[in-house]
Amino acid sequence: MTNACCTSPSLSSGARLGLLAARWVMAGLFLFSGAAKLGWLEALRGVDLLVPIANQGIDPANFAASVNGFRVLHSDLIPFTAFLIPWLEVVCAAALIIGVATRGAARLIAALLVLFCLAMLSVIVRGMDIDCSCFGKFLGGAVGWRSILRNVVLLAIILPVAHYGAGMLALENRFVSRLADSDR
Amino acid sequence: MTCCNPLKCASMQLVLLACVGAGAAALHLSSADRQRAMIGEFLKRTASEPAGEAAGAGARGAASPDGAPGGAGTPAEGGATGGAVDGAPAPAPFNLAALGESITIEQAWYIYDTLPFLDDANPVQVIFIDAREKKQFDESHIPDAYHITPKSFFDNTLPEDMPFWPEDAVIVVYCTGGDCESSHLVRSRLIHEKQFKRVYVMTAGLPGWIEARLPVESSN
Repeated sequence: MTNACCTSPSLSSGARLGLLAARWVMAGLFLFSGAAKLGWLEALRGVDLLVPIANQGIDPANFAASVNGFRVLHSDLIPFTAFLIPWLEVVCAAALIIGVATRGAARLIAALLVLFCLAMLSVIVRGMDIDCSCFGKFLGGAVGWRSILRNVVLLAIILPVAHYGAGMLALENRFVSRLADSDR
Repeated sequence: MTCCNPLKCASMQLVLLACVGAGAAALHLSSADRQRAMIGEFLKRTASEPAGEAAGAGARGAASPDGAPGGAGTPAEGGATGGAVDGAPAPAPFNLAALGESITIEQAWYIYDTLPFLDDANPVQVIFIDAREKKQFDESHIPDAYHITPKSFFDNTLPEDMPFWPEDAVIVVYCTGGDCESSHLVRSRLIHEKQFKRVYVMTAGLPGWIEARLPVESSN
């Protein structure tokens, strides 16, 4: 007997290609986002061509100040959160790229996006004017309806992956087929 | 609903990834001393000094830190030349050595207008830093202020003469006042990365400075 939580519906190759594209686009975006918040983009400064990318980065201290600006978390939680969010983004992005634990990673990113939307909404409701630091300085700017709309678009991209799984070119596809073979 | 295999169960994967992320974050946090110190400093400031109140106090010309009222009157009364208008330096409206992170407009004005001329034998170098966006800086800023934002520390756009600033220079950073974080971020960078000892934030920002009818200039 099959279990709904373990199986993916069979998909056409076009759909699987679409899932791969969604997976890698989101992985690239969130890898960049996490790296930007952890200050890793500074490593790119040595190469002239990559300096504009390096300029998009912040670091956990700056990101902590941004998180603090939302005024939604107790101050004791800010330092850990400033490291937790970018690390979750990096870990999920890595999982999405190689195609391991894909649905879990996609769901975690979806959950993060929903949380970000709620935090932004509370900022708008309270009439605050703060900087987002959402993807480092890339796609940054003031929190507003535009940033919420952006997150909703990202949510729409990641949800199919969360539901259907990795699509093609995923390591987990190999594991699953081996597990299925061993089950027989 | 139970899962047949944890490796294939999305919920289990989610929990596993969350644990990996949390573990990595905890390890990183415990090893990043400098970052932790900077975050702690931001939070200490936020907890002890609500930004709105600080801005209001600055704009009104608050009492000195030791409780005594400001001795030099409001900055506006001093006009553009302030306490040094009659040639004799005005008495300090506060104890410079006892200043905390944040200073009022009145204290900033004293630092700007009087402090550099107090002792000709050992002149104090005073530096004002505008941490707002470039466009805002170009429109108006405190005369001779440098433009340094938190981003300047990353993209190597710090002033060329910064290496020659003395460690004991009195540096005042400002931005737009209120909830503006930039000045605090710049201050923290100056202390932790550049080892400056006396860096203060003018909490009322440029709006408070302008409200007190103190001089500004534009880049044009």
